[in-house]
Order: sequence, then C-alpha cells, then structure tokens
Amino acid sequence: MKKPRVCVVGAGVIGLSTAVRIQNELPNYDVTVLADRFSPDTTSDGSGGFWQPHLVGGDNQDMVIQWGRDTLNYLFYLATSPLANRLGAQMVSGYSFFSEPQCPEWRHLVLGYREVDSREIKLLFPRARFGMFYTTVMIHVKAYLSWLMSRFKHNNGNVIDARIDKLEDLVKEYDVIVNCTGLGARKLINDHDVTPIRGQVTRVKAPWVKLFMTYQGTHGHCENYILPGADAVVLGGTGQEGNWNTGVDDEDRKMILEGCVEMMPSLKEAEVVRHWTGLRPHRTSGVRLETERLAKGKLVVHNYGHGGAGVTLHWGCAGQVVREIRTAFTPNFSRL
Amino acid sequence: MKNDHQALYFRDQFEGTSGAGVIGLSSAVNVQLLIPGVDITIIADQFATETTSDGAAGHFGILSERTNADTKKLSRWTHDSFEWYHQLYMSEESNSAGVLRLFGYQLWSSKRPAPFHSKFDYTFRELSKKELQRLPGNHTYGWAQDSLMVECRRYLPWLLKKFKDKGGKIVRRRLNNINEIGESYDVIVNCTGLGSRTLFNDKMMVPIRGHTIRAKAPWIKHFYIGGNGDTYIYPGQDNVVLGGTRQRGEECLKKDQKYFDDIIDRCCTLVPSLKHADIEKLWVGLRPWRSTVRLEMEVISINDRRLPVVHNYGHGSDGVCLSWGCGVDAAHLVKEQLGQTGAQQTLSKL
Repeated sequence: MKKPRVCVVGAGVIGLSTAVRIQNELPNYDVTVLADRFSPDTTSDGSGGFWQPHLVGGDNQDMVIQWGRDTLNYLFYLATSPLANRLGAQMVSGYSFFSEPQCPEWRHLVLGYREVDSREIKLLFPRARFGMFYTTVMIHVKAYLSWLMSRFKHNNGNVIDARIDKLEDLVKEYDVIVNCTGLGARKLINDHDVTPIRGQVTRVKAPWVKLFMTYQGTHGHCENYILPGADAVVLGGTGQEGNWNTGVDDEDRKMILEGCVEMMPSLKEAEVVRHWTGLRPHRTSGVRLETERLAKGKLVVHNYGHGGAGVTLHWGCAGQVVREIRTAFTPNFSRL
Repeated sequence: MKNDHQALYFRDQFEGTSGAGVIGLSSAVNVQLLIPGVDITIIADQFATETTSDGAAGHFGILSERTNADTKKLSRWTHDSFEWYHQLYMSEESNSAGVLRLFGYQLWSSKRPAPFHSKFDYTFRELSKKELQRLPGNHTYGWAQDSLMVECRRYLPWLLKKFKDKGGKIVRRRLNNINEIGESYDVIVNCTGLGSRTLFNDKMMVPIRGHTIRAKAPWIKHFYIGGNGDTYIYPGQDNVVLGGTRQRGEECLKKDQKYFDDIIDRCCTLVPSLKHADIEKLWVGLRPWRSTVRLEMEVISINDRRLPVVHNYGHGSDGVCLSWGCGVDAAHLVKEQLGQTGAQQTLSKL
C-alpha cells in the first residue's frame, strides 16, 4: 500500500511546524516541504518571536484563543525544558502599555496577568493611559526554525527548493497539499484578502534589559516595543498596511529608536546589530485554516494569513491541520 | 580658603571578604554630596573590581531578618537605597552603573510570611496555582517579585569614578592597626567589614562563607530562588549568577569543587537548560555578618588624641540593599563631627 504523500508548501514557522506535526502525528504519511525561501530568509526569521496575539484579522476570536493557547502551552514547555538554550526559548515578563483601555481575551492564557495602576504608569511611562503586566514566552525564531528543520529531516522528511505558479502543479504527485505560503497566497491562489503589514525592527545589544515593554497608540499605527531576546533585544516597530517595501526605511528607523529610548533611556547608546524588515501576511477575514476537496479524493488544506501572529498561533494551527487531514483524507484506492 | 577637614575611609581589608566595597564607596560619595569641598581619602588594600563584592549577585531582595534589628532604621536604609537605585534605573546611566530591573520567582515548599523587603519592591505577590504548576519543581507556595539588581562589577567602578571626579583621593595600603593613621585625619569612617574583628576588636563579626558561579545563559530572563532560599539564579548583564552556600564560621577561601558542583546540580534541578550554560567564573567569599549593622559614632583615643570614628559595617549579605541608605546616615554622622553649620545639603542626583 502506497504511503499517502503530503506536500507542505512554505518553510516559515507555519510550514515547518505543520510539517513536523504531520510527521509526528500521522506517521504513515510521507511528508515533503516545498518552498522558494528557507530560514534565515523567511518572514518568520526576523520576527521578535514574542507570544501575543497581534495584528491578526477576522472576528473569530475563539479560534485565535484556542490556537494561541495550544501554542503558548507548547512554548512554555520548551522554555522550561533542557532545549531552552538551543531555541532561545525564554519565559519573559513585562509591560504592555496602550493609549486606550484594553481587555484582551488572551489575558487568561498568559501567566500572572494584571492591570497596571495609574501610579505605576506615571512612574514608568506617563504617555500611556493603560497598562498591563504579564509573563509570556519569547523564542529565537531562527534557532527554532533550524531545530524544526533538523527534526523534519531526521524523520525522513523531504525538502524541495522550488517555486510553483499554482497549487494545481502539485496535485499529480501529492495526495494532500498544505498551503502555508503566507503572503504568497495572494498570487498563488489569488486571495486578495491577503495584504502585507510591513514591520521594521532594529536588533541591538542591550543585555541589561530583562523585561519587555510595548506601547500601542492609536495614532498612525504607533507601536514601539522592546523585546529582550536571547541573543539581542528587538526594538520595533511599524504596522504599515499595504506597504510592500522590504527595505529599511530611515524615518522608521529613527522613530523606532526614539520611541524605544523614551520607554527606556538606557537604550540610547545600545550597539545596533542589524535592521530588518518583514511583511506580515495579514488576511482581513482572519487566518484561513480549512480544507478544500479536490478531485480523486485529494485535498488542499489551507493554513495561511496569520498576520503578526504566526509564532503566536503556529503550533495550534499545525495541530488543527493534522485533525483536518485525519478526518477528511480518504486514500484514492479505497472507499469502503 | 581650603577646607582642611579631612575624613578617612577604611575599606575592607580582610582578604577575600565580600560586600565591603559597596559600603565604603557609598559612604564616601555621600560625604562628598553632603559636605562639598571636604577632603576625603579612601584607604584600602583592595579596590572596586578587585574586591570580592563582585561575587555577589546584588539582588534587592535578600534582606535577612535581624534578630535585634532596629526595623525603623532598617526601613529607612532600605527605602533610601531603593529610591537611589530606582533613579539610576530610570536614567541613561543604568547600564553603566550596573542597575537592572528584574522580575522573578521565589519558590517554597510551604506558606510563609512576606519578607522584609517586600514593601520596597515594585511589586510583590503570591503565586497562583496556575503559575506554580508552570514553574519549575513541585512547589506549593511562592512569590513573584519585581525589583532591582545592582551588579557591583559595574556599580563599584561607577561609584569610584564619581568619587574621584569630585576630588576624592585613593591610597592603596593595608592597615594592621588603627594607630597607623590616627594622626592624619579628623574623622575616620570604618567600613572594614570583617576587618573590624581585629582593627576594632569586634567579636560580633562572623564570616558566613558563600560560593557563587557565573555562567553564560542569556536565555534566562527571570530570577529564581528555590531550595528553601539556598538555591538561586540571577540573570545579570554579562552572565547569570548561580548560587549558593551559607556556611557560618567558615573562613577558608580555597575553591572547593564539591560546593560548586552541588550548586550546579541544585540550579539545574530548578532550570534544566542551565546544564548547557558555559561556566565563566567560580567565586568564594565571606559575608561580613553581624547580628545588627553597626552604624554609630565612637570616640577612640590614639596617642592621647581624640578621634571620632563613624562605624558602618556588619551588613552581611545585605550590603547592596542597604549601602546607599547607610551611606546617607554615615555622612550625617561625619558632618556632625566636622562641626559644619548652615543649611543641610539635600542629596542630589549624581
């Protein structure tokens, strides 16, 4: 009996984690990852790797919470395991400030969530009108992708470096195609609901920073954040809808530094490691995670459009893809 | 007219003793702030980075209960020190002064009353069941604490520079007897820690030996205290401090590997990924413990000359926590002795 063949298209955090979960949980399946970009050149690589549902579309908060919970549990496990150093997986605590009061659904998922009182806001960041303190997880995405890839290959996963023009090109060879192409889905399957939200960051050396700090204002997508990673502190950022520029913008660079220095003056002289820009694959109607049946019992499972919440949702979404395949897939030869 | 009042500081001279560097330097800088133009010399045989102060973590949290402590004074010293460090933390200089903000966990096997320092921290609270489940070990009780850590590796050189910039003088010398310098100065400030055992015959001074390890583990962002307070992990700017031991009465400074191995074992039980941390430095030092901090005036007689001595020693493991506040008090005692009149100078930010 021929093993069912799965092709995961895309090798960012969504694609690789999906491929690994399929291997682990559907061991009868033959899994291939096909992509035209691999770590360290994917969008995921430059991200802060910070768990917090952010810039993800759609009204369906329930699924975001479910996937987010599964992912956070997994990340907590990694951060407290002997693998923590290799993955730069860290439990980390800190403040998120806002220009308006918030009541996020995910506050029950993180640890030790509390609202910050006005005295503390005045002391720390007077510009804000609201603040929260909590404990979450941050991961070094590049290291994580590298680890996922080595697990994938170790379990006999097949990797193809190629570009395809349409998903149909894969139907002949594969029984299940998992579409993890992010922004690429716009062209690949003509989903114009997918648009970029441009994010620029600066990584600096500032090892005295142990707490994160973020600020979101309502004026012009103002967002500044300081995320202390294992190898560098990530300073951000921007959230420019519809902006396709993958270069480093000097005005943005200045705005990021100034905003972060306002939050933490000691960052003023921090040594810059590098600037980076990525295009978050946002989808207005939210993450598309669903199965499309093709002829001859073949399937396409879509798993794209995670916006700024790729790392935050990846593991939970990958688990859902496995469930979709398990319930929907019927091998070509048997129908009884 | 040159102000010819002179004050002298001893810094700790007992070889290998920890913690005294921060007391002496903090006192010296406070005197300079309170009495502008005063002529100050620090005499010590070990300075700043050469002292074993840099073996200590410097976390604002270890405040041992003192049996007959004057809690009013202890509160004032703690409060003043925390305010000072907070100012530094909020400034551009925080990293060069070695001050960093730290959040973390104290994990216990049973409920206990909140510690003395808890009212000074930014936040302090009990851990929820959910948190205890997520955190290492099978602890049934614990605290979350948000506070500051002051790393002497940077803080002492930073203080020393302030001291020198304001005209302070340094003399590198080991003193065996107080008589050796009695003639030269108007006031002496004694910050000799364990050295006071011999220099001032203080039998209440007891060394409490401690061992720490510094390791590279930049993925650790929280501090952890476990093992009933004896096991700790503090992430500093350059490395993580792992500890520790509390060996009362032990004075030998030989680096006995079995203690370090035991520390690593205990820390790895708490945070398994630490087994991959590269070890950079092993350290052993002696906490200058006394049942109460001695911060008071004493007039001694040297060669028929009346010599006021301001004592400021015996801080045990709380040197960093108390140093600035104690320095403020010591400076006031010095000022009284020098007979200065006029408006009291307010402490200003450096």
